[in-house]
Amino acid sequence: MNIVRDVLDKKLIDCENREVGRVDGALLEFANGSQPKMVQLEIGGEILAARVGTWLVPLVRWLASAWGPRRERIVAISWSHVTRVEKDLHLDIRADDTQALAWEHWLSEKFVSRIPGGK
Amino acid sequence: MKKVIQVALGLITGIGGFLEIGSVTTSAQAGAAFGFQLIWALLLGMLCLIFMLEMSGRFSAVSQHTVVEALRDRFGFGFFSIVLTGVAVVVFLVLIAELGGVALALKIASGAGVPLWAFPVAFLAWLLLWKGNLQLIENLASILGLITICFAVAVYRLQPQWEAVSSGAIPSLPTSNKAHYWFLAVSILGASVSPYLIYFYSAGAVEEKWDESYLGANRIISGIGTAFGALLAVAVLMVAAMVLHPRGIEVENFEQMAQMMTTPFPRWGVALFAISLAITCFGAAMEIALSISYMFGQGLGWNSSEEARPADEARFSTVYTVILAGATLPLLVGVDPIKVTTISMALTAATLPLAIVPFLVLMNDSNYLHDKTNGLVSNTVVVMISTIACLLAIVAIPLQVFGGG
Repeated sequence: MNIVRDVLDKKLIDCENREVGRVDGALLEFANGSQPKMVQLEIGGEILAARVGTWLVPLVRWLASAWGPRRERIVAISWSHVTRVEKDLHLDIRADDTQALAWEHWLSEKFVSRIPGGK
Repeated sequence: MKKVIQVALGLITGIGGFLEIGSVTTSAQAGAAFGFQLIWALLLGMLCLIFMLEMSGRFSAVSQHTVVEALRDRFGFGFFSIVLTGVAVVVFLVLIAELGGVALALKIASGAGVPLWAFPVAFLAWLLLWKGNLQLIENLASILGLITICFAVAVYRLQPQWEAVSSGAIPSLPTSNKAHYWFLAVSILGASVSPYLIYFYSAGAVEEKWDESYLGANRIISGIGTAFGALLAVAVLMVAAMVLHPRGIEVENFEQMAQMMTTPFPRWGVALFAISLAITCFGAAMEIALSISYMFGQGLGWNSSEEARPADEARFSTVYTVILAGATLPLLVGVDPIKVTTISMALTAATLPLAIVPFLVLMNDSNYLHDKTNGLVSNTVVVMISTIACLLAIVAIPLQVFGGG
């Protein structure tokens, strides 16, 4: 498997066929004397910002602290939840069991549901 | 049967979809200033758009992915964010122009100015996106858009000299006013080949669950639908060439443009023009607002379908809400929609390679398309036309802005 080609930026689909997000980053573990091991997939604006330019990170961090849902800064999904690696990555958990949809729920609750016809 | 209906609707969408504020304004300006001489630019734009829409439909039917999703998959977030930002900024300008186009048409009907109409127009577009679904939006825009056939009827009534018309299909150099000529050629190309159309078409193919059995339907819809639409734009150019050009009227505002329909239709001309423009611009505005939502949603991995309720896809629906609200602001403070149109069409042409080069890389990637990758002809046509558009833009925009020629 090629991490950049087959994993990074791929769509994550949960066990109910809902979109979880995209693989914004991946964490590898390099233990002494063994092969590197994939530990977790990461989702979050901060990681995306870092991939464009590190100068963006403080800005995103500040925006997230001023506004939006309270959640972990980076959503981590253990690699053990990945069941299939195809064009998309399939997970054996539900999107709602992670914090990946925190923004979706926050916007839905604070904004969209309050507009007539939103629900 | 489902396919037959889809093809029929797709054809009508093509007719209404090609015409919008950009193509109407640039075609009218071209006809008024240079007679039939710029017809070739419209035909070139049409050819490029036909190839690009066919590709984007084929891409989604075969790979089951939208073009935007694949752009992120294939090129990574860094490059993707550059393309997304570039295309979104230019398309946002086009959205301002489309909303302004509807407001201008209503201004003719009511006398009330653009700033007054901007908000109600944007609100209605938003309401349809909020409550409706993709099919409703596409079908509404396309069936009402049939009224634009009045431009073809106008041509028939004016009885053009077809010899002069056909000579305009071949590029030729203008005798005077070269800078304006090339600038208009660029704007026409920009108005025809908008990248958002690629993304929208491909998103539609995925929402309608196309598979490889749709490849034939795709060819008919993209080819014939676009050709019909482009020929109506040619009709606009011809009417302007026959009515405005001989009188030496250069189109600088909307009222002048509407005048061109009063010769073929003395009583209804202005109304027909205003209604045609209002409907096509309104349809385009909804499609653009949706396209921008799709671009963000698909690129960032949100659930993004126009079929679900807004609260289930809060991020997706928030994007078009914010975008539509944002696009009304310039109109509220009195920005001239025709000026925004001219600028955004030229910018679209100048930034074409940004959208088209990565798209072509995808179209030649057998990981997505298996044995259905692009052939030599489609690659060559699209590369050539978008290169021409971009080069012309780089030369013509400074000439137009700083004078000369």
